[in-house]
Formats: sequence, structure tokens, C-alpha cells
Amino acid sequence: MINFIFLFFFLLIAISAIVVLWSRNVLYSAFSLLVTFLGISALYVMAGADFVAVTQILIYVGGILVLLIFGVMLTNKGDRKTDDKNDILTESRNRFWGILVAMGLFTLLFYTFSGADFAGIHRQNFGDNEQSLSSVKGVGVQLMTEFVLPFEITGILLMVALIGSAYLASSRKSDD
Amino acid sequence: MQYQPSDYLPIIVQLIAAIGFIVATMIATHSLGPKRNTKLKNEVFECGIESVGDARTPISVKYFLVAILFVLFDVEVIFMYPWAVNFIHWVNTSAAVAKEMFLEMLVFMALLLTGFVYVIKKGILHWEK
Amino acid sequence: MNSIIALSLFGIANLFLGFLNNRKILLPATLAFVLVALGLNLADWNQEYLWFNNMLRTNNLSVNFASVILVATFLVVAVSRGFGDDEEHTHPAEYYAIMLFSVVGAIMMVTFENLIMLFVGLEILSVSMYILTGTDKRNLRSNEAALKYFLMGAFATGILLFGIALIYGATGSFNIHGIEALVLTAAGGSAPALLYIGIVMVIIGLLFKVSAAPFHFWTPDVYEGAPAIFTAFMSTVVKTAGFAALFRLLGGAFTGVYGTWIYILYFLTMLTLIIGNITAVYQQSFKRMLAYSSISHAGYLMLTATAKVAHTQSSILFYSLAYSVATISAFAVLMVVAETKESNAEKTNENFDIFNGLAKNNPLLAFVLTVSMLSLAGIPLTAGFWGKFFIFSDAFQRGIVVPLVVAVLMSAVGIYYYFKAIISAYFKEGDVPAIELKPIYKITLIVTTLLTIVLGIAPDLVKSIF
Repeated sequence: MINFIFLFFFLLIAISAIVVLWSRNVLYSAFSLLVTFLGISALYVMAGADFVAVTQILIYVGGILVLLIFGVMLTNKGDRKTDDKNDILTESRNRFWGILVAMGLFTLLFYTFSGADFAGIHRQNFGDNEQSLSSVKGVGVQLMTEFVLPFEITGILLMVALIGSAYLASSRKSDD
Repeated sequence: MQYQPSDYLPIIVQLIAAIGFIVATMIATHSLGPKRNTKLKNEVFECGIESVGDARTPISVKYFLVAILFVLFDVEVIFMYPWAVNFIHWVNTSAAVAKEMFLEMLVFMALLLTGFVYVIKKGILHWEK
Repeated sequence: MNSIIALSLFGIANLFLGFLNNRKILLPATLAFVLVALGLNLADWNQEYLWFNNMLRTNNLSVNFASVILVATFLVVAVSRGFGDDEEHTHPAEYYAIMLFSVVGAIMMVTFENLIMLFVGLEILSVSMYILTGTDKRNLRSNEAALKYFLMGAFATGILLFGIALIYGATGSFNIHGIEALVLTAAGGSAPALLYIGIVMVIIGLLFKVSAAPFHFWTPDVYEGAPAIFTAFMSTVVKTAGFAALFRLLGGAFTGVYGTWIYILYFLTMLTLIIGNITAVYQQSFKRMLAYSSISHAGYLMLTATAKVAHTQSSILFYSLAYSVATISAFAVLMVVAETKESNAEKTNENFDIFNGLAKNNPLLAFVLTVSMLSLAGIPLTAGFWGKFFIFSDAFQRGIVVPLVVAVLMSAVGIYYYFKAIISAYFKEGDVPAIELKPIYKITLIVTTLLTIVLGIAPDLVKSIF
């Protein structure tokens, strides 16, 4: 049963990702990406990483994708007749090299992962074996004790991004 | 004992029910209701002024900025979640631990709050400007 | 470590100093901030510390690298002159704040002990650079450069992160000393393919950031599009930090599986040297030439990063310092000349011919340009010569002959295009009006030039410390 569910989500991700690449319409690609993100979060659930799954939905589906669609809304074509179709089509596509690189990367990763011994991975870094129902607790303890410096520094990273986006995206008149 | 994928069955059932409801109602309304298509009925605003121009006029970049700020603070809130889940445990452990953890989160929040104060002082969220 | 905390606070302070509506105090304030950070950094000298559960390690190596980064930052800030008086279009408070934050990232890339810190540091540095590249909002080229840099850089960061994840999968550790030990044991027996692919991916991600071929395609466009002051910052600070990180990984964590990456890196070193130098010959734009020259300098630094001998680190440090100082003075001269021409309502293109006749009315600027070009070309009696000399002798000791021969040949090619600028300044007819230099600008230029010459005469002054 679990294998079938896995296969279902795997196919969902693969097909929607292919649609993202293949569709020339940017909006179709964006909505197909939504399905990809949802499928990936389902895979996270199956891997036992429920916190990452929720993060994936909250940030990618709830945030990044909204940004993408906003980006589509911000564009406009200058000289378009009212009766034309209202699609935004990408003009840049490089099928040959794209497929070549994707195939190369796939072969490499497939070879890597098929030979990997995931059961034999050293587990000394996973900290205490206190088993809890959800991984959120473990993540929280690790974040606040061992990885506290990266956590605080991430605050600086977010602040730089905040200042930068506010500076770059603010219109010229309201600069000062 | 960790959550098993099977524990998420209710979510899947709910998802299927939601999608099924939408699909079912759409099919039902399409096949059940009578259809009379006239040019006037297919207007975008059937009983308003005639629409002029393009629906895709560019929107102000300010909406985009708000969306970016939303994503950034979304990420911040995500970081607070695992902290909040553990906090009662730390309080029960000892006051010193709880205080330390509280300060750690305060530093993180302060960094982002600084950015937020900057954005407000710059007048970037000031809509009419 | 204290310098990281101090710089973060100073960055915030700088941001809010901008609300005082007094542009004059920003420049001295930032210079003071960088000096304080440098002092805090030097206070860690001769002490070995691990910070925050083995996240960062400060020792003499990291202090040296951080000092080179902070000195380069100080010089760049000094030649920025507070970004002029154009109140409406330049925002020095933000620029300085983001520069200070990016130095936080750069120092973390030098001191990291944990691969997560490497990633976060690299990300802070990169995000700051994307922003600084696009600061000239009215200039389409600047916008294009920022977008291009962002897209390519995000992709490279993704590859780096994937590599870190694979290494974690193979060894179960983010700590580079932990990884080193596990890699050593793995090298003897059957190491999983996971480990090798991870190592190669991490190396690719870092090589992208230091613009080594074949990951260099963004460099010319970004260097040309970004405002000259930030190009100077990018080509010095990012490069030094990137090579420090690369050196710490190659010389430490990844040594066990030497055989995996060494031949790849030899090949890429030669490729970088050849592409950087040969393409630079054909450039008309001075800024683009400097971009290709920075690619070629990445090649020289890669040569020594792969040559693992006892004093590799001092060679990298000396070369980074010599290269940074020379690059900053070259960009400073370019900036001031281009600005003067622009204020005379001439069309500026930042080509070589912008320097035509520079020596007639501005002997100081022409001299500064000459010394920096000579140093970049590696002519004796300049710091650049000794930088190349140390690198070549390291490579010779290690016995890497073929890349060494290529490097020597290519440094001969380099002399040709660096001399083009000198010839323009002294022997071509042209008209550059006498340029009034601000005192701080003049002092900085004199200091960088003197530093280049002094290090060229007595390299041991610094080399013995490193």
C-alpha cells in the first residue's frame, strides 16, 4: 500500500515537473509548480520529516508561489490587440542542451543513489534518541542548542534580504 | 514512535473530499443548468459599463514588495514554531534554561524587527506616497 | 569571532545613521567600524578557539585571512568617498550597511568549522553582492547584471548545498574535522559514491563563486554592469573569502580522497588560466579586461590551492593581498577618471582609451595606474611579482609541471593586456583635465601604491607573518 502511495506522489512530481519545463505558458508552469511542491511535501511526510513538509507547504506554496504569480501580474505586453490571446509565453528555450544536462545529472545522481548504503550511515550526529511523535521537537532542541549560531546568523541573512528587496523594489520617488 | 505516513490518511481523505466536491459541483452545474448564450450575457460585466482596454494592466510594484516582506516574515515564523513547541518543556526544566532560550529567540526576532523598523521608517509601506 | 558580532551591530548602526540626513558622517563612521573590527580580529592572534559548539574556529590562519578581507574592505570604503552628493540616487547608508554585512559572511567563510556555517556565510555574502550589483537602479546593465548574477549564483548555491547534503549522507557529519577523519578512513576502503559526488559538487559551488572556468560566464557581464566601486569590492573580498574556504576544504576535509579531485582541478586550473588570459587580450573595455584578469588570477590561486605544500597558505594570503591592493587602486583610478569625463558631459564607455593622455595633467593617477598594472602583470619590484613567484615555486616543489608551464606562459600573455592601459596613459594622445582629488582619496591611492612597492621590495615584511 505504502509503495503505491509513494509511486503515486512520485508520478505526480515527475509529471508536473515535466509540465513546468515543457509548457511555454508561464502561468501554466507556475500552477504546475504548485503541484510539484505539494508532491514533494508528501514525500517529506513519507520520509518522516513532518516539520520540513509543513515548512515546504507554508513557504513554497504559500509564499514563493504567490510571489511568482505576482511576478506574472507585474509584466505586461506593450502592443497587444484586445482580441489576442492573453498568454505569456517564454521565448527562451534551449531544448537540446537542457535535455543533455538534465540527462547527465540524472545519470550521475541515479548512479550515486543506487549505490548508496543509507542504512549504514553514521548516526552519531543525530543527538539524543528521545523519541517523540513529531520531528518538530527534535528540530527545536537542535536549533536552540547545537545550531544556535547558524540560527542567529540566518536572522542577519533575512535582514540583508529584507533591506535589499526594500531598496531594490521601492520606486524611485519614495526613496527618501 | 514517530508519525507514520498512515497517520496522514485523514488529510488525504479530506483532500480527496475537497477536490471531489469541487469537481462534482462543477460537472453538476454544467450539465444541470440551462444555457442561453447571448453576446450580452458573455460580457465581462453584464450590467455595467462596457469594459475598455486590457485586463492585464501592470500593477504597482508595491504589491510585490508586500509579498516579498510576507515571505521573509513567513520564514521567520517558521523558525519560531519548533522553538514554541519546546518552550514549555524548557520552562519545566529550569528557569535559567528557559531564560537562555528566550534570549536566543529574542536576538533572532530583534534582527528581523530591526529590518522591519527600517522598512517602516523608509516609508516603503506608506501606500499613498 | 568578536569581529563578526561587532560587524553585524555596526551594519545595523550604519543603517540607522542614514536617517540622520547627514551624509558626511557615514564615511568616517564606516571606516572606524571596519578598523574596530580589524582590531577585534587581531585580538584573536595566537589563540586557538572553537566557538558555539564547534561552529567556528579562530586561529592564526583565519585571523590572517580575515585581516586581508578587512584591509580590502577598508580600502574600498575609503575610495568610495561617501558615494558623492547625489542625494536622490545614491544611498550610502544602505550600501555601507550591506557591505559590512557581507564582510560578516566573508569572515564566516574563513572561520567556518561546520559546513552549515560555510553555507550560511556564503549565502550572506552572495545575497549582499546581488543587491550591490543592482544598486544603480537607473542603469539597465546594472539591473541585468544583478538578475544574471542572482540566477546563476542561486543555482551554484543549490549545487553547493546538494554537495553538503551528500557529504552528510556519506559521513553523518557537518564538522570539517569530523569529515576529514571519516574521509581518511573511507579512502582506504570502499567509500560510497555519495561522498565523491558530494565533494565534487561542493568544489563546483565554490569554484563558481571565485569565477573559475568553466563556471566563469557570469563574471564579465556582472563586473561590467555593477558600479565600479562594488566591482572592486566583489573582485577582492569575495575572491579572498572563496579561496580561503576552498583552501580549508581542499587542504583539510577533502585531503583523504586527494586522487578524486586533484586531476579535475589541474585541468580546470589550466582552463581558467587560458580562458582568462587569452580572452582578456581581446577586450576593449577596461572593466571587462579586469573581469577576465580576475578570472586568470583565480587560475593562479587555484594552482597554489591544489599544490599542497607546507607554506601554501602563506602563498595564497600574500597573493590575495597583492592582488586586492592592486585591483582596488586600478578601479579607483578608473572611477575617478570616468566620473570626470562624465561631468564634462562626455560619453563614457570605460574603454582603454578613457586613459588616453592621463599622464599629461594627472601624473599621480597615471603613476598609480602604472604600478597597479605592473603588479597585476607580475613585474619585479611590485607585490604581484612575489605573489606569482611564491605560487610558482610552490607548484614547482609539488612537481605539477604542466599546469605550471601553462601558468608561466599565460602570465607572459598577461603582460600584453596590462600594458595596454599604461600605453594609453603615457603615449596616446588624449585630453584628461587635471582632476582635483579629495584628500582621503589621494591618501588611499598613495597608500595602496606604496604598499604594492614596499611588498615588492621586501615581501618578507608580510610573508613572515602569514
